[in-house]
Amino acid sequence: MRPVLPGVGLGLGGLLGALALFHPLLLVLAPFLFLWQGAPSLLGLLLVLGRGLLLPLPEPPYGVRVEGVFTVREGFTQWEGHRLRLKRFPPLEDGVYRLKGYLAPPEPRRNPGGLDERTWLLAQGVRGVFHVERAEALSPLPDPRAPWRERLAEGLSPPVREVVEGLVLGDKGGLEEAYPLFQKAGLAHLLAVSGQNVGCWVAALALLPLGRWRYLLALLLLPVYLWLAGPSPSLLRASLMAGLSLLGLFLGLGAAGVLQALGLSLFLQLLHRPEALLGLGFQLSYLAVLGLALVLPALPLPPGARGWLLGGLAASLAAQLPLIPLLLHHFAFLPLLAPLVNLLALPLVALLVPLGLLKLLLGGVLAPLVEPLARTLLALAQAASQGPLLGWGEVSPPGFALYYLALLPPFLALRQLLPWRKALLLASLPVLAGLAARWPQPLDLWALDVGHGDALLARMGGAEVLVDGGRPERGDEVVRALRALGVEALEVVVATHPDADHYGGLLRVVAELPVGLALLSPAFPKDHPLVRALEAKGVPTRYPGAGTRLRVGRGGLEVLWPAVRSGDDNRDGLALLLDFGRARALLLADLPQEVEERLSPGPVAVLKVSHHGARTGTSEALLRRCRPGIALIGAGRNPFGHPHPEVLERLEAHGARVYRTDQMGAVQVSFGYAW
Amino acid sequence: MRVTAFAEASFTPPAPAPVSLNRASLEELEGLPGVGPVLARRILEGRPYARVEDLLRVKGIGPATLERLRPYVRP
Repeated sequence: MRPVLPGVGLGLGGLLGALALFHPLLLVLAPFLFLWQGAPSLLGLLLVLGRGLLLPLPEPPYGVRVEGVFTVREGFTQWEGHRLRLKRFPPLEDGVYRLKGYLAPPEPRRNPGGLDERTWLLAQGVRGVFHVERAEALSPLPDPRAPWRERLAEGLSPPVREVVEGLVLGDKGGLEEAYPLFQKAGLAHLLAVSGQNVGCWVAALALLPLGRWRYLLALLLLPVYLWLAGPSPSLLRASLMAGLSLLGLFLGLGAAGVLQALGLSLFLQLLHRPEALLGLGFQLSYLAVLGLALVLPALPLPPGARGWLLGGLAASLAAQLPLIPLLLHHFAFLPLLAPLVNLLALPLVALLVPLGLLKLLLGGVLAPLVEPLARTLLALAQAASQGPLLGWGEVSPPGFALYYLALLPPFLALRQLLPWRKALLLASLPVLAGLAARWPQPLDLWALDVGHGDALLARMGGAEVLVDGGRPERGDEVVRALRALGVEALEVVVATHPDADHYGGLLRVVAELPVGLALLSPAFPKDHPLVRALEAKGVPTRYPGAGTRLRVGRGGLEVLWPAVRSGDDNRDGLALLLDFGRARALLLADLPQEVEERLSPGPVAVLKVSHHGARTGTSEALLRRCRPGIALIGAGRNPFGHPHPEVLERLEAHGARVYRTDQMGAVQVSFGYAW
Repeated sequence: MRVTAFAEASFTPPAPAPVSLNRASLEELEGLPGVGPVLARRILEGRPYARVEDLLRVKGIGPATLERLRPYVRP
């Protein structure tokens, strides 16, 4: 192919340069890119690579104590040239403070599906976290954008105000309850300001009768909107693309093609900061526009209203298709009705965005128009959030590759470079490979990191058992971890005893996921919140004693305790023996040594140490009898001194390798696959 | 059998800067491990301290408590 689009070449070269900063081996692709896109790609590659290598983001000195006066904006501050994320509970409002604390590196991901703070911050050019121990407010920080925001909110009811702030300024701060609805409806992208908003802004100015000078005016006013809404990756992308086109128009060169402008703005954004590539918003924004730019021009559409309707549907599909694996990877579900819902939302948004932009200037006058429109959009999101969701766990790198390989042949067919029958046949190969890879079911035991508490997931070959769920506030994290691991429903949920650091998170799990059977310690009273939650969902609930056996998936579960009731919650906890076929695991809840003495599990491969490693459990005698090779301890910061050094010594003396969630995050013990 | 840990801990927070026994506020003294409002007040009333060991004069601080506090305080 002839390199006719220097913007595309620059962009692709820049992309490869930024990728090579993280995976240098990818540089082997450079010659191929050069053959395809020519000199611009080489220039883009060298400039972005050089930028990243010569001017890397400096690492702040971790562990240093810091004290002084700081300006805090949206949870970030500056210190000696480093941008730092502030960590404090409760978070600090914008303002000037005297702060005292220390610098630490951002945390890597601690659970499947959990936030990867390191990547999230790196994408924003931040490498340090300022842990604030003491904060003294000196003065508030006036926000010069406040009058604009007030005019936007004037005369609107609270839920509508938040939706409109999201639509017009991309401000998701107030949207706590509505945001998940938009996500499940497939409309969350509306709340990230991007092309549509910039388009309205520019179109309004381009209508002025000023000849070609109107383009310059629009170009000069683009930063105003950027300042109002904040430089999110999607808005930066849209502004750059619009800016390039306006510049072209002003200079009499004509508007840049979409692909051309997309490539150029990709190059510029990566040259500014190669790490931006790691941001999810950045990736979604570019891929969606790429989908639109590649598919829409190639589509033969009938004229008239039917063409408009089909075009809208095709646009929605074209923007969504490249995003699917990313959305599944990060959110673990995909709203199947999204293209349809987006088609319905399109006219509403097409009215709401320009009205909202106008409302930034005019205030309350427009409220009677905006209010009903936004209410309709909210109702649509509410209704559509009940629609079917496709669930899928985290996607592996080969999974991404297979997906895009499968998209390629239909795309070539659309461009009439390949007959459709061949294309579908070719596309089905990666799809089959992907499905085949999901056939062997993992056999493993996960100790999730829920701070101080226990949450253990056993995947037993097609059926899953969750034993405890950490404290109540960790419930969402447990649900996210389950979804990320591809767990759609739980065969068995076990609550070993009614301590909050064991049953708490299960409340959320039971509310979010279907459960086949619940096993509860007899220590749970009948009016316990968990018992009620299970009843409300219609989950069959048993209170088993020693000797109960269940077949689960390819393995089994045996209850070893309680044989007798004592009235003490810890002592009446459930001891479980999980049989994975090739290995067995003993889970000891918070049971004391007196109970351990009465258990005879035989040798096991894995031991979930009793009571977060407290001295009251894990006796010599038990270790001698069950000889575990691996010991799991669910612990976090705690005032009890768990795990106790004596217990750690005992485990080591008996040859058990200790894995602690407080030091290692989630721990996976893998026993292989069930075929 | 294969064990995979998600995140190896590589960073331990620095020890807090020692609090001055002679100049710290009541609030700062209460932030010391094992020191409540009552003991903090007694430490305040026992000023001045020439050495950290002078803390033994304060009622409620024995050799064990002194050793526990030692990394966190200076005269």
